[in-house]
Amino acid sequence: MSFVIDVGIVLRLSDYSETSQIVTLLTRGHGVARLLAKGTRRTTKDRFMPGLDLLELGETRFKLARPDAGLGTLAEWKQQSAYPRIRSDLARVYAATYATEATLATTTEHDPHPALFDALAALLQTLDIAGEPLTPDGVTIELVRFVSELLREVGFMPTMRACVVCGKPRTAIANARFSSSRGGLLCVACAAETPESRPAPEAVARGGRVGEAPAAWLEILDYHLTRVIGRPLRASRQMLRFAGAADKM
Amino acid sequence: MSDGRGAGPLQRLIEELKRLPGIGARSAERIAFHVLKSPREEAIGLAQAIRDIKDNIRPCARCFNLAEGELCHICADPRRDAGLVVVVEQPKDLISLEATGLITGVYHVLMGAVSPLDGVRPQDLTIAALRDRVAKGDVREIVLATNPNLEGDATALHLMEALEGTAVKVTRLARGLAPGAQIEYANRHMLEEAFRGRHAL
Ligand SMILES: [Zn+2]
Ligand SMILES: [Zn+2]
Repeated sequence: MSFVIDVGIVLRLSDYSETSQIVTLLTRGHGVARLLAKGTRRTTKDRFMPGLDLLELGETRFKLARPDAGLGTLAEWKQQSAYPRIRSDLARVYAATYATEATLATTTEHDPHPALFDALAALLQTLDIAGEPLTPDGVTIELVRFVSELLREVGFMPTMRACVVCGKPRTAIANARFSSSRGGLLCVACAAETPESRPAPEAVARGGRVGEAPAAWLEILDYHLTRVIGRPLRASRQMLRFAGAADKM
Repeated sequence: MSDGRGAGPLQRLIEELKRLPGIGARSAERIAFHVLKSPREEAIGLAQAIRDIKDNIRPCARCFNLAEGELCHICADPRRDAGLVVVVEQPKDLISLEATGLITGVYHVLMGAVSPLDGVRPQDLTIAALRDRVAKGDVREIVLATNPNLEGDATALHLMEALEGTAVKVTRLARGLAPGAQIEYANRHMLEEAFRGRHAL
């Protein structure tokens, strides 16, 4: 494999040695890339300007590892944005972290999703807006939009229009439930025959827009993600708290 | 890979050395042979020094810096200004800041940074102990000297939340350090600038 140039967002950073780090990037054209970055810890080297941090967007030159061959190599990193306003507000820090964590947990290396990269970059950009600050609801709405896009990209978006089993339209369903394993809304009769389900919040069940009930939407998508991934996201509890979701976990 | 147990003493030492940061198989072998050839007192001195830090060093009861007694040498020093508390993530950062010779106050070591991705929560740090120190009333200013990276920023935000409602003045080191940089590796000049340029939050 040879060196390529791409744009990327830093999803994960861990210390490898006194001077080196392992960087996990979501790149636009090459998907998730796990790379060894030599010399990033100690000083600001010209090749890594100006330093390297989580949730940064930058231009990068790197070499991917061959499939199943460990780490690639990060040769250059030129930061384009560090989204400074995200870093001044905890709700935004957790929303952005939730998004990166969900991305890491649902994608694999060597599987590019340019639309997913664009959605994550757009989320960070929106969370970073100056001027009128985003309300907690505003932060949650942006995160829900991103998580929906992520689930669509990786093929796990639940169906909310009708009962996923019998096809009964949602307008005809009372006390609708949601099942992650079935992949969407269930009517009461079909839910009785499904081992895993939970009540669907009213606003979600009647197909309300995200803007009307952002916390309810986040709650249901978080429930779904937890089951798709097999564990709750680490940022989940804090994020649900910021969103004001009724914590039913 | 063998864990060295059951192997000869030389192999065992090599395996132990290889676990140290930055020591590969080659260096481990070189150090092991050096120890083998060195005078007995020298080698035993090294072993004793290692045993001593494990037996005699513990967190300072006030600031969580490394201490040999109840309090660390900084907290025990009556010439230090107890009204100025510099909050750092780990003892290594304290050592770097102390080397500037600029800090007349005392410290508080958080024993880590909040990391949403790694699941390190604010309650896993020594934030409650810091609040207790503030509640006792002799703290005037708290300087947040967490790293200028995402985790350091998140930690600073949680600290501000925890200190809300107290009368203490909270400042943060200036951003003379490159974003993503670590205090531990910053040079003395950068740290001086950052401390002198600290700003209220
Ligand atoms: Zn049904
Ligand atoms: Zn102390």
